[in-house]
Amino acid sequence: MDKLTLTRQNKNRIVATLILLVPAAIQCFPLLYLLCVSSKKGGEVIQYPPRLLPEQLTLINYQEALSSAPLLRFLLNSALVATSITFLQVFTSVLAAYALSRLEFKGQRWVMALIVGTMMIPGEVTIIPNYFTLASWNWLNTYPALILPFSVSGFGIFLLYQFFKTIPKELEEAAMLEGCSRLRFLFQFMVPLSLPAITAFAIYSFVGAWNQYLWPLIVTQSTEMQTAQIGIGMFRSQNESMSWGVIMAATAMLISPTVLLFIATQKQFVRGITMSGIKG
Amino acid sequence: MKKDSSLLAWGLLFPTLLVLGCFVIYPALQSFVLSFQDVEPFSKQSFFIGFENYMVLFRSPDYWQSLRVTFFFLVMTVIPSLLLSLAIAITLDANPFFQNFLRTLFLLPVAISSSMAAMLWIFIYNPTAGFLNYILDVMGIQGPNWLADPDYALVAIAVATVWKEIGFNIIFFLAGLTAIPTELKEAAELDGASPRQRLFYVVLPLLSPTLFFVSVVSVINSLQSFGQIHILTAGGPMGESTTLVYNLYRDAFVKFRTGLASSEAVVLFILIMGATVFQFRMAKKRVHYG
Amino acid sequence: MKLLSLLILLIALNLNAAPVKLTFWHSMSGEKGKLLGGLIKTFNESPQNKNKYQVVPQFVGTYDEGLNKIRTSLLAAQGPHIAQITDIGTQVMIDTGGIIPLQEFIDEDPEFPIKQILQPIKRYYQVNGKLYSLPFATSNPILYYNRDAFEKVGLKRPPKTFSELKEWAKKLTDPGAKKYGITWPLSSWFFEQFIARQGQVLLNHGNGRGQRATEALFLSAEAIRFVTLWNEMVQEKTFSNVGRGWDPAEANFLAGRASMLITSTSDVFEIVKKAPFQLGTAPIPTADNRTLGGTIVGGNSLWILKDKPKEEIKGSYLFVKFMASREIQKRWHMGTGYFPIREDLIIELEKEGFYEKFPAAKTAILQLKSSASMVATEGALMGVFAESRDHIETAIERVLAHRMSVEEALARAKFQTDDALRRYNRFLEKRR
Repeated sequence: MDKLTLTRQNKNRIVATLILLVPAAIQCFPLLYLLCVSSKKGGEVIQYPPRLLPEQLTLINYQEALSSAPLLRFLLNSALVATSITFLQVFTSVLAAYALSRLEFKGQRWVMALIVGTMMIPGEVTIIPNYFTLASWNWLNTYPALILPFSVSGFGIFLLYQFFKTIPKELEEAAMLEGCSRLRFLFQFMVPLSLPAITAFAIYSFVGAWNQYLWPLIVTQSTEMQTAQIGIGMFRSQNESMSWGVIMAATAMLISPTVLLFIATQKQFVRGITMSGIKG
Repeated sequence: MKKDSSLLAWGLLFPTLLVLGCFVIYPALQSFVLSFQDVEPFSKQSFFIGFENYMVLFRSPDYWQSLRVTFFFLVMTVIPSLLLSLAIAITLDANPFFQNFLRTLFLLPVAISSSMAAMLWIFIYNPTAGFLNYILDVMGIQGPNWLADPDYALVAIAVATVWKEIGFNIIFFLAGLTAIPTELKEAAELDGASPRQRLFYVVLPLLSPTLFFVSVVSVINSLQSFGQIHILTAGGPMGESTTLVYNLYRDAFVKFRTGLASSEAVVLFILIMGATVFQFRMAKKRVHYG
Repeated sequence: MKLLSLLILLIALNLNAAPVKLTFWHSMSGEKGKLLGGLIKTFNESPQNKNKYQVVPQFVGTYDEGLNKIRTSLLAAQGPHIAQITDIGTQVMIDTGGIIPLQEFIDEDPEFPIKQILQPIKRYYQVNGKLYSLPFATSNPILYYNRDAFEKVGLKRPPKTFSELKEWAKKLTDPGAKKYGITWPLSSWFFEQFIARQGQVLLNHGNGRGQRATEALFLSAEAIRFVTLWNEMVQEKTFSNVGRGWDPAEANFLAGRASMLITSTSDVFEIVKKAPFQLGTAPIPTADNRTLGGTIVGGNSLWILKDKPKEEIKGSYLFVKFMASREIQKRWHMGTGYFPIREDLIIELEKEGFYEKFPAAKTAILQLKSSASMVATEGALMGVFAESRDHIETAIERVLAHRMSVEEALARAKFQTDDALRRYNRFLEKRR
């Protein structure tokens, strides 16, 4: 009997694996393509019929990309900005989501509506007024200018609000009976229990911050303050042909931190998920 | 006790409200005011003109076109990406071999910004030298002129968008799926429920908060898509890929029509809000919180 | 005593004074950005500037993005010292009121090489007789062709007229091998160029140069003739329409998928380097009746912004003047393919035999010099150029996709552009 279920489980697993192979291949093909193009020599890129693998591997595009723009500096700026934004967003979202999902106060519904409403304001509208605000504070070209306007996320609050609501109220009541304060409960129980949601949100937030373009473009006034996305703009030509090899090499270097972050947080993600198993 | 919790609540909300107030609500109110004004492009001077900006919008065939384009784009991105990511997440949750590896593969496109991804797709979509049409050609199909053909441009952008978006949705669905206690699924299985029954009567209802959340966010993201359109087609051909947001960007940043762009923002806000309220209404009936 | 110490302090301050920093916003990416960085370094390291001025370049995105950033920053009084702005941003820059016309400096500086700047280039950036900015990167479109493909079908020379262009394209097309006759990007730039090539203006009031333009002349016979030609080639499947991107057109040509390409000279050395076949270049064709006309210079120019301390403005001017020097222009031209803006430089390069080695680069210069001196080739001037381009491109797309006739589509673009002009002009009247 035991053996039988085991094989059936294995059969399911094999089927699932096979089903996933095709979409997984499609999903990573463009990235594979990126790596291939980035290691091709100039003329080879535009050959027809196109070939996936380079005839001869070369790192010349990577060298070229590194010498054309201060990519390292851009990466550092992006890392600093994106990490700060992520941290602040997670922090403010946890606090706000807790208040909205667990505490009772007047105007709660209105505040929730307001916060969800801010998600719907197209970002393009706020850029110019915010530019003037920061200019009047003399904050242009500073890290706070890149970070602060994005330190709150309506999305994050909404996500964690949803998640906090699924955590049984009884747990909190029991803890409070034992003399646990609300804040301690939040950080000792709610946050660990919501780790999968928080991790997912942190990834979302980091990637979003990493990928900003229009705002850093407008608010920075020196190359030292510019971020990775503007770096890519520096390789993209207008009104002429592009050096695809170099663009792809630069892209590969500029996405590697986020890709690595993804691979690294996989573990954390999985751990968070197993922890949430307590709930049931 | 109650007063205490109300004080705590406002304290916890304070940083959020402060930042939102300064950097989101204040500029949003400002553009609301500007939507009734004509704004000089080279000074901060503006003139009150009542509803004229709105009249200009609704009289413009191009604006109606961008409404239509936005709607099609919404349908072409949200539905496929929800279905695909849900299917993939459920399959991933069935514990396939190399689960971690496969999951990573699906998540990778998320790590790329929409404009960087768009650069890749430009290359793939090139009608005569690109990889996609080359593959179609080998299969004996004459590939269309993806980005220059008014019938295909939006589809091409939608494909690139879905490609990038599903990873996100998969993360959230997986988080939701793994939160469903295995005992429940096992219990259903022991009771003799077929896989399909288990899906529709156990998994999906329990997943409904996630499903709701992901669909709200997908709709908002789709309505606010920008980078990929900017790079792939710049709104063309014939405005067939000019969405409301792209139109707004062109008006505000290229045509320097601040007043008009503000009125577009207001309309867009109302539309997104309408869509979200609709989703919340639906959710009230269907979403099941554990 | 107090006075003395103050004096000493002042001297000390002066000796230790750090060089003045001048911010320079530009839109040059890739190789060109790198080369520009090198030119700036030369300026910063030259002995006469080393301790006085340091130009700090900053990349500000595409031309559109750069223009928008300038506009916004001027509203907040946070503009740069010098800015590189696209050709079609000329009227906008003047209307911002935040710039100092280069002419004001030239009038006071007999050393400025104004006489050396090629006449057709100067004419584009002169408004009401004043040179507003320094033409820096200038180009025009030329015809590139694949000599091997020409030989294969027995064509001896490049096409000179619209009819020949059509005929050549047909001969070069091979549907079996998926080879097209010709391609160019779907950009309004070509519309503007081919109208000027036939000697017609784009806007009323002398292309918007006499007075502000109030009407777009998109329905001229010349405009209709060109769009019709374009459409016919697309319908005959001899033109490979790759859409608005500039890169795919060039990629197709280089990959041998299209045997002729019309595009900017700014890429000429890249194309020479990459072409895996024998490359030919020629001036762009004109209408069969060969009316007088020519190409318009395109590219970008350097602007000096006001509202800065006098000393800094002086530095801005010195930098701009430096960019017009022979040495800099030579490096820029040879590194990119943009025209040298100076007459004496062309003569110098001619002597050095540079153009024998790169005849392709010479084609563009010849075309530029042979352009008739008339309002049409000076190029149009309007504050809503970017918007108008949108309308024209949409119109052309409508035609190529059979959604509208040539006249219908151009009439709509004209109507929309006229409307934009009216709106724009209204503001500037209100200001007065």
